[in-house]
Amino acid sequence: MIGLLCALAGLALAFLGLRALYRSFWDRGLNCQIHFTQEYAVEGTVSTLSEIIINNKLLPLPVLEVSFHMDRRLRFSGGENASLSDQTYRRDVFAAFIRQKITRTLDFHCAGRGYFTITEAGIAAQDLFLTQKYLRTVPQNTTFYVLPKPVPASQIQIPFSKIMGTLLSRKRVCDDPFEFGGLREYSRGDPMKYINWKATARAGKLLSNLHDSTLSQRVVIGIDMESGGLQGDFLNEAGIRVACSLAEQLLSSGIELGIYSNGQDIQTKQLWKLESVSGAGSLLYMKKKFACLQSGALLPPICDCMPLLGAADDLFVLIARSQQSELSQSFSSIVGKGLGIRVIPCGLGTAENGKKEMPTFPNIENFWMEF
Amino acid sequence: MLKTLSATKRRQILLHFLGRIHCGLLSGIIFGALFDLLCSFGVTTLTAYAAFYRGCLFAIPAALSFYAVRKLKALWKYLLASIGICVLAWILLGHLGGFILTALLCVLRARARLAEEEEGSVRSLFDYPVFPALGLFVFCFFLSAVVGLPQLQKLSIFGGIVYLLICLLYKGTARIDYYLTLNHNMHNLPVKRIQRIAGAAVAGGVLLTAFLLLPFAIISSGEIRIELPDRQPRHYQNVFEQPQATGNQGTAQTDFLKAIAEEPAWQIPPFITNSLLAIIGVALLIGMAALLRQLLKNFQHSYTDSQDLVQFISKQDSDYTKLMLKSPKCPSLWDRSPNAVVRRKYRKTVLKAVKDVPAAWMSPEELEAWAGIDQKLLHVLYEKARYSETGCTQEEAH
Repeated sequence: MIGLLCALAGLALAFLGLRALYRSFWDRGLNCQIHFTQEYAVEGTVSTLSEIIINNKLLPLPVLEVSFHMDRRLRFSGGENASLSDQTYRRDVFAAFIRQKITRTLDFHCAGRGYFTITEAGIAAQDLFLTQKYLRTVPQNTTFYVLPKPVPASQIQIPFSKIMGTLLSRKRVCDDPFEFGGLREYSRGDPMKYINWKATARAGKLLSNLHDSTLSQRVVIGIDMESGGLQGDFLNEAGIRVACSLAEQLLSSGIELGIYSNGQDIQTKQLWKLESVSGAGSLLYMKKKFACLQSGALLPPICDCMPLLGAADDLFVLIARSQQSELSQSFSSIVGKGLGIRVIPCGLGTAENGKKEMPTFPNIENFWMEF
Repeated sequence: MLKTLSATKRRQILLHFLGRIHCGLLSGIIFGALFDLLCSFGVTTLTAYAAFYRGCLFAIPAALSFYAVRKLKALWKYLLASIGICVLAWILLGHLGGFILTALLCVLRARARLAEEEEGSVRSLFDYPVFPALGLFVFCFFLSAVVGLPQLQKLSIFGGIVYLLICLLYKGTARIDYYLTLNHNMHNLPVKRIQRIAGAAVAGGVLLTAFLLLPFAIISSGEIRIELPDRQPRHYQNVFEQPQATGNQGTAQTDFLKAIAEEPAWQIPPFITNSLLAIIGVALLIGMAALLRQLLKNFQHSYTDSQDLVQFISKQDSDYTKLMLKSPKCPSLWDRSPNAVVRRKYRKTVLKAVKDVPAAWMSPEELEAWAGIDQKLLHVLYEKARYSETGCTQEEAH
C-alpha cells in the first residue's frame, strides 16, 4: 500500500515537475521571425510573407500560436486565419517538436500603396498536455513597400508630350557653343564660324558643328494630398499613380525632377519632398518615396510647399483633385511668366462640369483625367 | 479534409469507448462491493470477482441507452427501447441489480434529454469519467479494510487504478479533441503533428502510470485491515470454506484438497525463470530504446506538411541559432565577484522597471531609455563591470 501511495505521489510530482519545467523553459531557444520575402511589390499584385518558428530545445511544443497584425491594405488571400477590421489580424497555429524549424509562407494581396512594417508578434504556447498556456511578445523588424500602380501610358501621354514638348522647345532656343553635339551639312544661313574645316576637308563638303543645349531641364511636380472622404482619397491615390508614372517617364527621358507634396512622409514624419532626383537609377528610390506619402486633413496648401524661387526654366506640374479657384490662382502666381501644367484627377463623367466651373489662367494648361 | 474528419472520428470513438467503460467499471465496483458483503453474510453465492466482471458489462447497456436517447426522437420509442435495454442488462449482469441500475440510467437520460430541449446541450456524468468517481473505489477499499473483504480490496485497488488510467486517457484525449475541434476551420492547422506530439505525451503518461501502478494491483493480497477502536475484529468466513471433516472421509477429503493445493512434482528451476524474465526485460528495454531512436531519427528529416516546411535543426544550425539567440550570459549564482554583483543589480533594476525581457542587441544606454531608468551611477558601474578590463572594486559593488 505504501508502495502504491509512493508511486502515486511520484507521478503527481513528475506531472507538477513537468509543468514547472515548461513554465520556466517554454520560451528558451524559441524564436519567431516574420519577414516579408520581398522588399517591395506593386499595388494590386501578390507578395509573400514568411513565418519561421525555431524551437531549439528538448521541450516539444504541441501547440504554438503566432499572432501579428499589419495594415489593412495588405490582405491575406482568401481571408484565411485572418480578420480584417482597423488592421489585418492574423493567427497561425504550429506544432513544434524537439529541435525543429518550421517555415510557413503566406500569400497576401497588396490592396493599397504604402509603407508597411510589422513590429511585434505574439506567441502563445501550450505545454505537453495542453493544460497551461504561456504568452510572450517577440519584437519583429520587417518592412515592405507597396509601390503605386502604374497608370496606362495612354492616359498620361498628352501631359507627358506637353511637358516634353515644352522642354525641348526651350532646349532648342538656347544652344551651348561649347557643347559639341555632332556635324551636319552646311546650310545657307549658318554662321561661318560654326563650319568645321577639318571635317569639311575630310568629307569634301562643307560641314558645320551642332551644339547641344546645357539648359537645366527640371520639372517640379507638386502633389496635393489633402484628404476628402472616400472619393477624395481615391482621387488622391489616382493622382499619386499619375505623378509616379509621369515621373518615371520623365526620369527615363533624362529629365531632372523635384517632387513636393503637402502630405507627410511616414518614415521621416516630416513634410514629404524629393528635392532633386534624376537618372533611371533613382527610379526605385523615387517609387519607394511615393509609397511613403501619406494624405491627411488640414494640411498646408500645396503651393506653399513648392519652391517659390526655382530656376527660371523650371517647368511646374501640379497634380491636385481640388477645383478651388484659390489653388489655381496660387499655382498661377508660382508659375509666373512661364507655363504650368495642371493635372486634375476627377470622377467619371465630372470632367465636363469641372471644366466649365473651374477658372482658367493663361499660364496654366489643365488636363482632366477621369478615374 | 477527409483525413482530418477520420482523425476526428477516431478520437470521438475513443472518447465514447472510454465513456462507456467508465460506466462499466463503476457498476462493477458497486456490485462487487454489494455482492461481497452479501456473500460474507451468506446471502448469495455470487463472488465479488464474478459480480465485478459481470458488472463491467454494464458498459453495453450504458452505450445502448446513449444511442437510444440520441437516435429515438419519440419518447414512447425511447421507453420501449429502455425496457429492452434493462432486460438485456439483467441478462448480462445476472441479477436484478442490473435491471434496476439500467432503469435508473434510462430515466436520468430521459430527464437530461428533456432538459436539453429547454436549456441546451447537457453533459451527462454517465458519458465521461471524472476524477471524483475514484472516491467510490477509495470508499470500497476502506470498506473492505474495515469489514475484512480481501476480494473487494483487490478489486477496489485494481478497479481504481484502471479507472484512473481511463480518466487520464480521457482527459488528455478530450483536451486535444477540444482544441482541434475549436480550430478545425483554421487553415493549415497541423492536425497530425499536434495529435502526434500531444497524443504521444498522453499515451506516454498513461503507460508510465500503468507501468508504475498496475503491479501493485496485481501483487495486492487484500490483507490490509483497519481496526476501528470499538469494533471487534471480524473474522472473514468464506462460504465455500470446506467444513471441518471428521473421520476417515474427512481425512481423505483433506488429503485430496491438500494434494490439489500442493505444488506440482516438477517445477521450472527459479534461475531459468529469472533468466527468462531478465532476457525479456532487457529485450523490452532495447526494443523501446530502438523505437525511440527510430522515432527521433524520423524527425531528423525535413518534410513538408501542408504549407509548412519542417526541418530538423542540425548541430551546425543549432550553433548558428544559438549564436543568433545568444543573450549575454548572466553571472552564475555562485559568482560573488564585484562585477557579478553589479551586473546582477543592474539586471534586477531593469527587470523590475519593465516586465518584458529586453532585446539582446540593446546597449546599456538604449536599455535604460527603453526601460525608463535614470541611474547614472549604476549605468557607469555596469559599463565598467561589463566592458572594462579592470572591472569594479568591492567598494564600488557595495
